[in-house]
Amino acid sequence: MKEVAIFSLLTRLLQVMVQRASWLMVCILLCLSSATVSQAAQDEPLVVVVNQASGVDTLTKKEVVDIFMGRYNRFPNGQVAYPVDLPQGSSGKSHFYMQLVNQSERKIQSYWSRLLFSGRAKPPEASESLPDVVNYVVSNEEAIAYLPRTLITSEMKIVFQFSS
Amino acid sequence: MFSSLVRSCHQSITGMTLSIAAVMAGLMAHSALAEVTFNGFATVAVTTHSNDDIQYRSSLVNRPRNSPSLAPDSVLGGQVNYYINDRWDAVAQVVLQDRADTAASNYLEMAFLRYRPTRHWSFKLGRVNSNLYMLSEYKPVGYAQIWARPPLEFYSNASVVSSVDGLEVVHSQDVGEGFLELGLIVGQTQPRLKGSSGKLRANFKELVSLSARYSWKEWQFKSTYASGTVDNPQIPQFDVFTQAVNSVPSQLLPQQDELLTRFSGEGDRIKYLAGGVKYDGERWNVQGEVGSVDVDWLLFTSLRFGYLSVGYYMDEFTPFVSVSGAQSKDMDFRFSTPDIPPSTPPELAAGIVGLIAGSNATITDLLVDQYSLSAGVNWHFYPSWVAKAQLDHIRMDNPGTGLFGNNALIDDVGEERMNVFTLSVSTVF
Repeated sequence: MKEVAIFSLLTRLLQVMVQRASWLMVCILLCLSSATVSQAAQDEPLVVVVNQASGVDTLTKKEVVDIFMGRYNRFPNGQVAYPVDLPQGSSGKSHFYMQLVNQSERKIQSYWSRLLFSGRAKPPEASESLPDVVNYVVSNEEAIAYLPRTLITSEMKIVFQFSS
Repeated sequence: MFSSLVRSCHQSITGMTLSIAAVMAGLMAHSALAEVTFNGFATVAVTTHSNDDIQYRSSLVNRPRNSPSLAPDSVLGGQVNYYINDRWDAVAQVVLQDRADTAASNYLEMAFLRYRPTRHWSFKLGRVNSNLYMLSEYKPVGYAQIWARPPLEFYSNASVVSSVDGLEVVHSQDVGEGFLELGLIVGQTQPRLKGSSGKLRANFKELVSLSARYSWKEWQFKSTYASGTVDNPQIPQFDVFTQAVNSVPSQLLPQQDELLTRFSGEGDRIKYLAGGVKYDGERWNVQGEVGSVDVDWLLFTSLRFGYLSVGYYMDEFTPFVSVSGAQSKDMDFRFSTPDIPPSTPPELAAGIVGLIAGSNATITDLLVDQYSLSAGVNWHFYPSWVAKAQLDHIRMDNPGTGLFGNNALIDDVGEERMNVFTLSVSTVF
Protein backbone atom coordinates (compact mmCIF):
# COMPACT_ATOMS: atom_id res chain seq x y z
CA MET A 1 0.00 0.00 0.00
CA LYS A 2 2.80 2.30 0.97
CA GLU A 3 4.54 1.75 -2.38
CA VAL A 4 1.26 2.41 -4.25
CA ALA A 5 0.75 5.66 -2.32
CA ILE A 6 4.24 6.80 -3.08
CA PHE A 7 3.83 5.90 -6.73
CA SER A 8 0.51 7.79 -6.84
CA LEU A 9 2.09 10.84 -5.23
CA LEU A 10 4.98 10.78 -7.68
CA THR A 11 2.57 10.45 -10.62
CA ARG A 12 0.55 13.44 -9.40
CA LEU A 13 3.69 15.46 -8.89
CA LEU A 14 4.83 14.61 -12.40
CA GLN A 15 1.44 15.64 -13.81
CA VAL A 16 1.61 19.02 -12.06
CA MET A 17 5.14 19.54 -13.32
CA VAL A 18 4.14 18.62 -16.86
CA GLN A 19 1.14 20.99 -16.64
CA ARG A 20 3.28 23.84 -15.35
CA ALA A 21 5.95 23.06 -17.89
CA SER A 22 3.31 23.10 -20.60
CA TRP A 23 2.13 26.53 -19.55
CA LEU A 24 5.70 27.70 -19.47
CA MET A 25 6.28 26.20 -22.90
CA VAL A 26 3.12 27.84 -24.22
CA CYS A 27 4.23 31.19 -22.82
CA ILE A 28 7.69 30.82 -24.34
CA LEU A 29 6.23 29.73 -27.67
CA LEU A 30 3.81 32.66 -27.68
CA CYS A 31 6.59 35.12 -26.97
CA LEU A 32 8.81 33.56 -29.58
CA SER A 33 6.08 33.50 -32.21
CA SER A 34 5.15 37.10 -31.45
CA ALA A 35 8.75 38.18 -31.75
CA THR A 36 9.15 36.13 -34.90
CA VAL A 37 6.03 37.68 -36.46
CA SER A 38 7.25 41.17 -35.53
CA GLN A 39 10.74 40.42 -36.86
CA ALA A 40 9.29 38.86 -39.99
CA ALA A 41 7.12 41.92 -40.55
CA GLN A 42 10.10 44.21 -40.18
CA ASP A 43 12.23 42.09 -42.49
CA GLU A 44 9.70 42.24 -45.30
CA PRO A 45 10.21 44.66 -48.18
CA LEU A 46 9.35 48.17 -47.06
CA VAL A 47 7.05 50.53 -48.90
CA VAL A 48 6.44 54.21 -48.31
CA VAL A 49 2.82 55.02 -47.50
CA VAL A 50 0.53 57.96 -46.83
CA ASN A 51 -3.01 58.25 -45.57
CA GLN A 52 -5.64 57.22 -48.14
CA ALA A 53 -7.13 60.74 -48.02
CA SER A 54 -3.80 62.39 -48.81
CA GLY A 55 -3.54 64.38 -52.03
CA VAL A 56 -0.21 62.68 -52.73
CA ASP A 57 -0.37 59.63 -55.02
CA THR A 58 3.21 58.94 -55.91
CA LEU A 59 6.70 60.09 -54.93
CA THR A 60 10.13 59.60 -56.42
CA LYS A 61 12.99 58.30 -54.29
CA LYS A 62 14.48 61.79 -54.20
CA GLU A 63 11.20 63.24 -52.94
CA VAL A 64 11.14 60.63 -50.18
CA VAL A 65 14.74 61.55 -49.31
CA ASP A 66 13.78 65.24 -49.24
CA ILE A 67 11.11 64.61 -46.60
CA PHE A 68 12.81 62.00 -44.42
CA MET A 69 16.11 63.91 -44.42
CA GLY A 70 14.46 67.19 -43.43
CA ARG A 71 15.12 69.14 -46.63
CA TYR A 72 11.45 70.01 -47.12
CA ASN A 73 8.58 69.96 -44.66
CA ARG A 74 6.02 69.74 -47.46
CA PHE A 75 5.17 67.31 -50.24
CA PRO A 76 5.80 68.46 -53.82
CA ASN A 77 2.11 69.45 -54.09
CA GLY A 78 2.56 71.88 -51.16
CA GLN A 79 0.72 69.76 -48.59
CA VAL A 80 2.50 69.64 -45.23
CA ALA A 81 4.26 66.33 -44.46
CA TYR A 82 4.61 64.67 -41.06
CA PRO A 83 7.08 61.79 -41.41
CA VAL A 84 7.24 59.05 -38.79
CA ASP A 85 10.06 56.60 -38.11
CA LEU A 86 9.96 52.95 -37.07
CA PRO A 87 11.28 52.39 -33.53
CA GLN A 88 14.89 53.26 -32.83
CA GLY A 89 17.14 50.24 -33.21
CA SER A 90 14.62 48.25 -35.24
CA SER A 91 15.89 46.36 -38.27
CA GLY A 92 13.15 48.05 -40.35
CA LYS A 93 14.48 51.53 -39.59
CA SER A 94 18.11 50.69 -40.32
CA HIS A 95 17.07 48.80 -43.47
CA PHE A 96 15.02 51.79 -44.68
CA TYR A 97 17.80 54.35 -44.30
CA MET A 98 20.38 52.05 -45.85
CA GLN A 99 18.09 51.66 -48.86
CA LEU A 100 17.19 55.34 -48.97
CA VAL A 101 20.51 57.14 -48.44
CA ASN A 102 23.02 54.34 -47.78
CA GLN A 103 23.59 55.55 -44.21
CA SER A 104 23.58 53.59 -40.96
CA GLU A 105 21.12 54.48 -38.21
CA ARG A 106 24.03 55.79 -36.14
CA LYS A 107 24.94 58.27 -38.86
CA ILE A 108 21.32 59.20 -39.39
CA GLN A 109 21.06 60.06 -35.69
CA SER A 110 24.16 62.22 -35.94
CA TYR A 111 22.78 63.87 -39.07
CA TRP A 112 19.55 64.73 -37.29
CA SER A 113 21.37 66.18 -34.30
CA ARG A 114 23.03 68.56 -36.76
CA LEU A 115 19.72 69.60 -38.33
CA LEU A 116 17.84 69.86 -35.05
CA PHE A 117 20.43 71.95 -33.21
CA SER A 118 21.00 74.20 -36.17
CA GLY A 119 17.30 75.03 -35.94
CA ARG A 120 16.69 73.84 -39.48
CA ALA A 121 14.23 70.99 -39.02
CA LYS A 122 12.90 68.50 -36.54
CA PRO A 123 13.40 64.77 -37.03
CA PRO A 124 10.58 62.41 -38.04
CA GLU A 125 8.14 61.53 -35.28
CA ALA A 126 9.53 58.69 -33.17
CA SER A 127 7.35 55.60 -32.71
CA GLU A 128 7.34 52.79 -30.16
CA SER A 129 6.15 49.95 -32.39
CA LEU A 130 4.83 48.96 -35.80
CA PRO A 131 1.17 49.34 -34.68
CA ASP A 132 2.06 52.88 -33.54
CA VAL A 133 3.19 53.74 -37.05
CA VAL A 134 0.08 52.17 -38.58
CA ASN A 135 -2.16 54.16 -36.24
CA TYR A 136 -0.24 57.37 -36.96
CA VAL A 137 -0.72 57.01 -40.72
CA VAL A 138 -4.36 55.94 -40.45
CA SER A 139 -5.28 58.82 -38.16
CA ASN A 140 -3.22 61.58 -39.81
CA GLU A 141 -3.92 62.88 -43.30
CA GLU A 142 -0.47 64.50 -43.59
CA ALA A 143 1.50 61.48 -42.36
CA ILE A 144 4.10 59.64 -44.35
CA ALA A 145 5.75 56.42 -43.17
CA TYR A 146 7.54 53.30 -44.29
CA LEU A 147 6.05 49.92 -43.43
CA PRO A 148 6.27 46.24 -44.39
CA ARG A 149 3.91 45.65 -47.29
CA THR A 150 1.85 43.10 -45.30
CA LEU A 151 0.78 45.77 -42.83
CA ILE A 152 -0.71 48.07 -45.45
CA THR A 153 -4.44 48.52 -44.97
CA SER A 154 -7.16 50.01 -47.13
CA GLU A 155 -6.79 53.26 -45.15
CA MET A 156 -3.32 53.82 -46.64
CA LYS A 157 -1.85 54.09 -50.08
CA ILE A 158 1.61 53.23 -51.30
CA VAL A 159 3.44 56.21 -52.81
CA PHE A 160 6.87 54.70 -53.27
CA GLN A 161 8.51 51.30 -53.24
CA PHE A 162 12.16 50.43 -53.57
CA SER A 163 13.10 48.58 -56.72
CA SER A 164 14.51 45.15 -55.93
CA MET B 1 29.24 107.38 -24.57
CA PHE B 2 30.17 103.69 -24.87
CA SER B 3 27.82 102.65 -22.10
CA SER B 4 24.89 104.45 -23.74
CA LEU B 5 25.63 102.68 -27.01
CA VAL B 6 25.72 99.32 -25.27
CA ARG B 7 22.44 100.13 -23.55
CA SER B 8 20.81 101.10 -26.84
CA CYS B 9 22.05 97.86 -28.40
CA HIS B 10 20.63 95.85 -25.51
CA GLN B 11 17.36 97.73 -25.83
CA SER B 12 17.06 97.00 -29.55
CA ILE B 13 17.72 93.28 -29.01
CA THR B 14 15.36 93.14 -26.04
CA GLY B 15 12.74 95.03 -28.04
CA MET B 16 13.01 92.61 -30.92
CA THR B 17 12.81 89.60 -28.61
CA LEU B 18 9.72 91.02 -26.92
CA SER B 19 8.12 91.67 -30.31
CA ILE B 20 8.78 88.08 -31.33
CA ALA B 21 7.29 86.85 -28.06
CA ALA B 22 4.18 88.97 -28.64
CA VAL B 23 3.73 87.61 -32.19
CA MET B 24 4.21 84.07 -30.89
CA ALA B 25 1.61 84.59 -28.19
CA GLY B 26 -0.85 85.91 -30.75
CA LEU B 27 -0.31 83.00 -33.09
CA MET B 28 -0.53 80.54 -30.21
CA ALA B 29 -3.97 81.84 -29.33
CA HIS B 30 -5.17 80.95 -32.83
CA SER B 31 -3.51 77.59 -33.12
CA ALA B 32 -4.68 74.20 -31.96
CA LEU B 33 -1.53 72.52 -33.27
CA ALA B 34 0.98 74.33 -31.07
CA GLU B 35 3.65 72.02 -29.74
CA VAL B 36 6.68 72.71 -27.61
CA THR B 37 9.69 70.41 -27.53
CA PHE B 38 12.90 70.64 -25.55
CA ASN B 39 16.17 69.08 -26.59
CA GLY B 40 19.69 69.45 -25.39
CA PHE B 41 23.30 68.49 -25.89
CA ALA B 42 26.26 68.23 -23.60
CA THR B 43 29.95 67.56 -23.68
CA VAL B 44 32.16 66.90 -20.70
CA ALA B 45 35.80 67.16 -21.67
CA VAL B 46 39.10 67.33 -19.88
CA THR B 47 41.84 69.12 -21.78
CA THR B 48 45.50 69.14 -20.93
CA HIS B 49 48.31 70.93 -22.70
CA SER B 50 52.06 70.76 -22.49
CA ASN B 51 53.22 74.40 -22.65
CA ASP B 52 53.28 76.38 -19.40
CA ASP B 53 53.77 79.69 -21.24
CA ILE B 54 50.53 79.30 -23.17
CA GLN B 55 46.98 79.43 -21.88
CA TYR B 56 44.72 77.24 -23.99
CA ARG B 57 41.27 78.19 -25.26
CA SER B 58 39.15 76.47 -27.89
CA SER B 59 37.67 79.71 -29.19
CA LEU B 60 38.67 83.38 -29.33
CA VAL B 61 35.63 84.36 -27.28
CA ASN B 62 36.51 81.89 -24.51
CA ARG B 63 38.68 82.34 -21.47
CA PRO B 64 42.33 81.24 -21.71
CA ARG B 65 42.99 78.39 -19.26
CA ASN B 66 45.91 76.67 -17.65
CA SER B 67 46.25 72.89 -17.84
CA PRO B 68 44.47 70.63 -17.06
CA SER B 69 40.95 71.98 -17.17
CA LEU B 70 37.38 70.85 -17.68
CA ALA B 71 36.31 74.28 -18.88
CA PRO B 72 37.65 74.88 -22.40
CA ASP B 73 35.83 72.10 -24.25
CA SER B 74 32.87 71.32 -21.99
CA VAL B 75 29.48 72.56 -23.17
CA LEU B 76 25.85 72.37 -22.09
CA GLY B 77 23.15 73.44 -24.52
CA GLY B 78 19.38 73.56 -24.43
CA GLN B 79 16.96 74.27 -27.24
CA VAL B 80 13.24 74.95 -27.25
CA ASN B 81 11.33 74.44 -30.48
CA TYR B 82 7.88 75.91 -30.55
CA TYR B 83 5.77 74.66 -33.46
CA ILE B 84 2.89 77.07 -33.82
CA ASN B 85 1.45 75.68 -37.02
CA ASP B 86 2.71 74.28 -40.30
CA ARG B 87 3.95 77.70 -41.41
CA TRP B 88 5.16 79.31 -38.19
CA ASP B 89 7.60 78.12 -35.59
CA ALA B 90 10.16 79.56 -33.19
CA VAL B 91 13.48 78.30 -31.88
CA ALA B 92 15.60 79.46 -28.95
CA GLN B 93 18.94 77.95 -28.00
CA VAL B 94 21.14 78.72 -25.02
CA VAL B 95 24.66 77.29 -24.82
CA LEU B 96 26.66 77.43 -21.60
CA GLN B 97 30.36 77.44 -22.38
CA ASP B 98 33.55 78.98 -21.10
CA ARG B 99 32.97 82.54 -22.33
CA ALA B 100 35.47 85.18 -21.22
CA ASP B 101 32.83 87.90 -21.30
CA THR B 102 29.95 86.48 -19.30
CA ALA B 103 27.27 88.83 -20.65
CA ALA B 104 24.00 86.91 -21.14
CA SER B 105 24.06 87.69 -24.84
CA ASN B 106 27.22 85.61 -25.19
CA TYR B 107 25.23 82.48 -24.31
CA LEU B 108 22.18 83.01 -26.52
CA GLU B 109 22.98 81.27 -29.78
CA MET B 110 19.57 81.46 -31.45
CA ALA B 111 16.18 83.05 -30.81
CA PHE B 112 14.13 83.45 -33.92
CA LEU B 113 10.64 83.30 -35.31
CA ARG B 114 10.34 81.49 -38.63
CA TYR B 115 7.74 81.73 -41.36
CA ARG B 116 7.64 79.15 -44.15
CA PRO B 117 5.01 80.33 -46.64
CA THR B 118 5.83 77.73 -49.28
CA ARG B 119 7.90 74.61 -49.75
CA HIS B 120 10.83 76.62 -51.08
CA TRP B 121 10.99 79.76 -48.93
CA SER B 122 11.81 80.36 -45.31
CA PHE B 123 12.11 83.64 -43.37
CA LYS B 124 13.67 83.93 -39.92
CA LEU B 125 13.57 87.01 -37.75
CA GLY B 126 15.55 87.41 -34.54
CA ARG B 127 18.92 85.99 -33.57
CA VAL B 128 19.97 83.57 -36.29
CA ASN B 129 23.14 81.60 -36.80
CA SER B 130 25.64 83.49 -38.94
CA ASN B 131 26.02 80.33 -41.03
CA LEU B 132 29.40 81.50 -42.33
CA TYR B 133 31.05 78.08 -42.38
CA MET B 134 30.11 74.42 -42.81
CA LEU B 135 29.96 73.67 -39.09
CA SER B 136 28.78 77.09 -37.92
CA GLU B 137 25.24 76.02 -37.25
CA TYR B 138 26.08 73.17 -34.88
CA LYS B 139 29.60 74.02 -33.76
CA PRO B 140 28.95 73.43 -30.02
CA VAL B 141 27.22 70.05 -30.57
CA GLY B 142 30.03 67.58 -29.87
CA TYR B 143 27.86 64.56 -30.64
CA ALA B 144 27.41 65.74 -34.24
CA GLN B 145 31.12 65.88 -35.05
CA ILE B 146 33.84 63.31 -35.28
CA TRP B 147 36.48 65.51 -33.58
CA ALA B 148 36.76 66.58 -29.94
CA ARG B 149 36.23 70.11 -31.28
CA PRO B 150 35.94 71.62 -34.75
CA PRO B 151 39.41 72.36 -36.22
CA LEU B 152 40.66 75.08 -33.92
CA GLU B 153 42.61 77.21 -36.39
CA PHE B 154 39.44 77.57 -38.45
CA TYR B 155 36.64 77.76 -35.90
CA SER B 156 38.30 79.66 -33.05
CA ASN B 157 38.19 82.82 -35.10
CA ALA B 158 34.80 81.95 -36.58
CA SER B 159 33.20 82.04 -33.14
CA VAL B 160 33.56 85.85 -33.06
CA VAL B 161 30.63 86.14 -35.44
CA SER B 162 28.57 83.09 -34.53
CA SER B 163 25.15 84.76 -34.65
CA VAL B 164 23.45 87.74 -36.23
CA ASP B 165 20.48 89.77 -35.00
CA GLY B 166 18.39 90.37 -38.08
CA LEU B 167 16.55 88.69 -40.92
CA GLU B 168 17.45 85.51 -42.77
CA VAL B 169 15.85 84.47 -46.05
CA VAL B 170 16.47 80.97 -47.39
CA HIS B 171 15.42 79.63 -50.77
CA SER B 172 15.66 75.87 -51.32
CA GLN B 173 15.22 74.03 -54.56
CA ASP B 174 16.20 70.87 -56.37
CA VAL B 175 18.96 71.27 -58.89
CA GLY B 176 19.68 68.18 -60.91
CA GLU B 177 19.92 65.23 -58.55
CA GLY B 178 20.95 67.52 -55.70
CA PHE B 179 19.52 70.08 -53.32
CA LEU B 180 20.49 73.75 -53.34
CA GLU B 181 19.99 76.27 -50.53
CA LEU B 182 20.63 79.94 -51.07
CA GLY B 183 20.71 82.13 -47.98
CA LEU B 184 20.74 85.86 -47.35
CA ILE B 185 21.23 87.35 -43.88
CA VAL B 186 21.04 91.06 -43.07
CA GLY B 187 21.51 92.46 -39.61
CA GLN B 188 24.17 93.18 -37.05
CA THR B 189 26.16 91.39 -34.40
CA GLN B 190 28.17 92.41 -31.38
CA PRO B 191 31.27 90.28 -30.76
CA ARG B 192 32.14 90.22 -27.06
CA LEU B 193 35.69 89.30 -26.20
CA LYS B 194 37.69 89.78 -23.07
CA GLY B 195 41.42 89.77 -22.50
CA SER B 196 43.64 90.47 -19.56
CA SER B 197 43.29 94.23 -20.11
CA GLY B 198 39.50 94.22 -20.22
CA LYS B 199 36.52 93.74 -22.51
CA LEU B 200 36.67 94.27 -26.23
CA ARG B 201 33.35 94.82 -27.94
CA ALA B 202 32.23 96.21 -31.26
CA ASN B 203 29.13 96.28 -33.37
CA PHE B 204 29.45 94.76 -36.81
CA LYS B 205 26.60 96.66 -38.43
CA GLU B 206 25.20 96.55 -41.96
CA LEU B 207 26.15 92.89 -41.96
CA VAL B 208 25.17 91.12 -45.16
CA SER B 209 25.87 87.45 -45.73
CA LEU B 210 25.25 85.45 -48.90
CA SER B 211 25.64 81.68 -48.80
CA ALA B 212 25.08 78.72 -51.08
CA ARG B 213 25.00 75.09 -50.04
CA TYR B 214 24.62 72.24 -52.49
CA SER B 215 24.07 68.64 -51.37
CA TRP B 216 24.38 65.79 -53.80
CA LYS B 217 24.39 62.21 -52.56
CA GLU B 218 27.33 61.92 -50.13
CA TRP B 219 28.75 65.28 -51.16
CA GLN B 220 28.19 68.75 -49.81
CA PHE B 221 29.59 72.02 -51.09
CA LYS B 222 29.32 75.36 -49.36
CA SER B 223 30.49 78.89 -50.01
CA THR B 224 29.82 82.15 -48.18
CA TYR B 225 30.57 85.79 -48.61
CA ALA B 226 29.82 88.29 -45.86
CA SER B 227 30.67 91.87 -45.11
CA GLY B 228 29.96 94.39 -42.39
CA THR B 229 31.15 97.62 -40.86
CA VAL B 230 32.88 98.02 -37.51
CA ASP B 231 30.86 100.44 -35.43
CA ASN B 232 31.53 101.99 -32.01
CA PRO B 233 34.22 99.59 -30.82
CA GLN B 234 34.82 99.47 -27.09
CA ILE B 235 38.51 98.94 -26.53
CA PRO B 236 39.98 98.66 -23.04
CA GLN B 237 42.08 101.69 -22.13
CA PHE B 238 41.69 103.15 -25.62
CA ASP B 239 40.91 106.57 -24.15
CA VAL B 240 44.26 106.49 -22.30
CA PHE B 241 46.00 105.50 -25.54
CA THR B 242 44.23 108.28 -27.48
CA GLN B 243 45.19 110.80 -24.84
CA ALA B 244 48.82 109.70 -24.99
CA VAL B 245 48.94 109.87 -28.79
CA ASN B 246 47.28 113.28 -28.89
CA SER B 247 49.64 114.66 -26.25
CA VAL B 248 52.55 114.30 -28.67
CA PRO B 249 52.96 117.19 -31.14
CA SER B 250 52.09 115.93 -34.62
CA GLN B 251 55.43 117.05 -36.07
CA LEU B 252 57.13 114.61 -33.67
CA LEU B 253 54.67 111.80 -34.43
CA PRO B 254 53.66 111.97 -38.11
CA GLN B 255 51.74 108.66 -37.89
CA GLN B 256 49.49 110.04 -35.14
CA ASP B 257 46.30 109.71 -37.22
CA GLU B 258 47.25 106.29 -38.54
CA LEU B 259 47.90 105.02 -35.01
CA LEU B 260 44.47 106.09 -33.83
CA THR B 261 42.63 105.02 -36.96
CA ARG B 262 44.20 101.58 -37.26
CA PHE B 263 43.65 100.75 -33.59
CA SER B 264 40.19 102.29 -33.33
CA GLY B 265 38.64 100.24 -36.15
CA GLU B 266 35.72 102.66 -36.38
CA GLY B 267 34.05 102.43 -39.79
CA ASP B 268 36.37 99.70 -41.11
CA ARG B 269 34.83 97.22 -43.54
CA ILE B 270 35.19 93.57 -42.59
CA LYS B 271 34.87 90.89 -45.27
CA TYR B 272 34.53 87.13 -44.94
CA LEU B 273 34.98 84.63 -47.73
CA ALA B 274 34.84 80.88 -47.26
CA GLY B 275 34.37 77.67 -49.19
CA GLY B 276 34.17 74.04 -48.15
CA VAL B 277 33.63 70.50 -49.40
CA LYS B 278 32.49 67.46 -47.47
CA TYR B 279 32.23 63.82 -48.47
CA ASP B 280 30.41 61.60 -45.98
CA GLY B 281 30.28 58.11 -47.45
CA GLU B 282 29.67 54.65 -46.10
CA ARG B 283 33.29 54.33 -44.91
CA TRP B 284 35.07 57.66 -45.40
CA ASN B 285 34.44 61.10 -43.99
CA VAL B 286 36.55 63.72 -45.73
CA GLN B 287 36.07 67.43 -45.40
CA GLY B 288 37.97 70.62 -45.83
CA GLU B 289 37.40 74.35 -45.78
CA VAL B 290 39.36 77.46 -46.57
CA GLY B 291 38.46 80.93 -45.36
CA SER B 292 39.64 84.47 -45.28
CA VAL B 293 38.90 87.59 -43.22
CA ASP B 294 39.92 91.03 -44.40
CA VAL B 295 39.82 94.12 -42.24
CA ASP B 296 42.12 97.08 -41.63
CA TRP B 297 41.47 97.02 -37.88
CA LEU B 298 44.71 96.01 -36.15
CA LEU B 299 42.91 94.49 -33.15
CA PHE B 300 41.08 91.99 -35.36
CA THR B 301 43.83 90.79 -37.62
CA SER B 302 43.16 89.82 -41.24
CA LEU B 303 43.52 86.07 -41.52
CA ARG B 304 43.60 83.19 -43.94
CA PHE B 305 42.76 79.79 -42.53
CA GLY B 306 41.85 76.26 -43.57
CA TYR B 307 41.74 72.59 -42.63
CA LEU B 308 41.51 69.12 -44.09
CA SER B 309 40.16 66.18 -42.13
CA VAL B 310 39.87 62.47 -42.94
CA GLY B 311 37.89 59.95 -40.89
CA TYR B 312 37.20 56.25 -41.45
CA TYR B 313 34.04 54.59 -40.12
CA MET B 314 34.73 51.20 -38.52
CA ASP B 315 31.39 50.19 -36.99
CA GLU B 316 31.13 52.20 -33.77
CA PHE B 317 34.71 53.55 -34.03
CA THR B 318 35.87 56.39 -36.26
CA PRO B 319 39.58 57.14 -36.21
CA PHE B 320 40.47 60.47 -37.78
CA VAL B 321 43.37 62.76 -38.63
CA SER B 322 43.32 66.42 -39.56
CA VAL B 323 45.62 69.27 -40.39
CA SER B 324 44.64 72.91 -39.95
CA GLY B 325 46.29 76.28 -40.03
CA ALA B 326 45.71 80.00 -39.61
CA GLN B 327 48.00 82.83 -40.55
CA SER B 328 47.71 86.60 -40.36
CA LYS B 329 47.79 88.12 -43.80
CA ASP B 330 50.20 90.89 -42.94
CA MET B 331 52.90 89.59 -40.66
CA ASP B 332 55.27 92.48 -41.28
CA PHE B 333 53.33 95.62 -40.56
CA ARG B 334 54.70 97.62 -37.64
CA PHE B 335 54.83 101.31 -36.86
CA SER B 336 58.28 102.78 -37.35
CA THR B 337 59.78 105.01 -34.69
CA PRO B 338 59.89 108.58 -36.02
CA ASP B 339 63.07 110.61 -36.22
CA ILE B 340 63.15 112.51 -32.98
CA PRO B 341 65.10 115.80 -33.03
CA PRO B 342 67.92 115.97 -30.43
CA SER B 343 66.30 119.06 -28.97
CA THR B 344 63.26 117.02 -27.86
CA PRO B 345 62.96 116.78 -24.08
CA PRO B 346 64.21 113.33 -23.00
CA GLU B 347 60.91 112.43 -21.24
CA LEU B 348 58.91 113.19 -24.39
CA ALA B 349 61.37 111.30 -26.60
CA ALA B 350 61.16 108.27 -24.29
CA GLY B 351 57.36 108.57 -24.33
CA ILE B 352 57.24 108.50 -28.14
CA VAL B 353 59.56 105.51 -28.31
CA GLY B 354 57.49 103.73 -25.66
CA LEU B 355 54.25 104.51 -27.47
CA ILE B 356 55.48 103.03 -30.73
CA ALA B 357 57.04 100.04 -28.96
CA GLY B 358 53.82 99.35 -27.04
CA SER B 359 51.74 99.64 -30.20
CA ASN B 360 54.00 97.23 -32.04
CA ALA B 361 53.97 94.79 -29.11
CA THR B 362 50.16 94.79 -29.23
CA ILE B 363 50.23 94.10 -32.98
CA THR B 364 52.73 91.30 -32.46
CA ASP B 365 50.70 89.72 -29.69
CA LEU B 366 47.61 89.55 -31.90
CA LEU B 367 49.31 88.02 -34.92
CA VAL B 368 48.53 84.41 -35.72
CA ASP B 369 50.84 81.94 -37.39
CA GLN B 370 49.66 78.60 -36.17
CA TYR B 371 49.28 75.04 -37.46
CA SER B 372 47.89 71.84 -35.94
CA LEU B 373 48.24 68.17 -36.66
CA SER B 374 45.50 66.19 -34.94
CA ALA B 375 44.67 62.52 -34.56
CA GLY B 376 42.02 60.81 -32.54
CA VAL B 377 39.22 58.34 -32.33
CA ASN B 378 35.49 58.73 -31.92
CA TRP B 379 33.67 55.86 -30.18
CA HIS B 380 29.89 55.75 -30.59
CA PHE B 381 29.50 53.48 -27.57
CA TYR B 382 25.77 53.83 -26.98
CA PRO B 383 22.85 55.39 -28.89
CA SER B 384 23.08 59.16 -28.41
CA TRP B 385 26.48 58.91 -26.70
CA VAL B 386 30.00 59.27 -28.08
CA ALA B 387 33.39 59.29 -26.41
CA LYS B 388 36.42 60.85 -28.04
CA ALA B 389 40.14 60.98 -27.50
CA GLN B 390 42.19 63.49 -29.47
CA LEU B 391 45.81 64.58 -29.54
CA ASP B 392 46.79 67.85 -31.22
CA HIS B 393 50.32 68.91 -31.93
CA ILE B 394 50.19 72.69 -32.30
CA ARG B 395 53.01 74.73 -33.76
CA MET B 396 52.99 78.49 -33.19
CA ASP B 397 55.62 80.17 -35.25
CA ASN B 398 57.16 83.41 -34.17
CA PRO B 399 55.81 85.94 -33.28
CA GLY B 400 52.22 85.75 -32.01
CA THR B 401 49.93 83.63 -29.90
CA GLY B 402 46.75 85.27 -31.14
CA LEU B 403 44.44 82.28 -30.86
CA PHE B 404 45.57 81.50 -27.31
CA GLY B 405 46.51 83.46 -24.24
CA ASN B 406 50.02 83.69 -22.89
CA ASN B 407 51.40 83.56 -19.39
CA ALA B 408 54.76 85.02 -20.34
CA LEU B 409 55.53 88.64 -21.12
CA ILE B 410 54.84 89.57 -24.72
CA ASP B 411 58.55 90.13 -25.37
CA ASP B 412 59.26 86.57 -24.30
CA VAL B 413 56.82 84.96 -26.70
CA GLY B 414 58.61 83.33 -29.56
CA GLU B 415 58.33 80.11 -31.45
CA GLU B 416 56.21 77.76 -29.40
CA ARG B 417 55.15 74.12 -29.59
CA MET B 418 52.29 72.61 -27.66
CA ASN B 419 50.58 69.25 -27.41
CA VAL B 420 46.94 69.23 -26.41
CA PHE B 421 45.21 66.05 -25.26
CA THR B 422 41.46 65.90 -24.87
CA LEU B 423 39.17 63.19 -23.53
CA SER B 424 35.48 63.87 -23.92
CA VAL B 425 32.02 62.35 -23.68
CA SER B 426 29.16 63.91 -25.63
CA THR B 427 25.47 63.25 -25.74
CA VAL B 428 22.21 64.60 -27.11
CA PHE B 429 18.90 64.39 -25.36
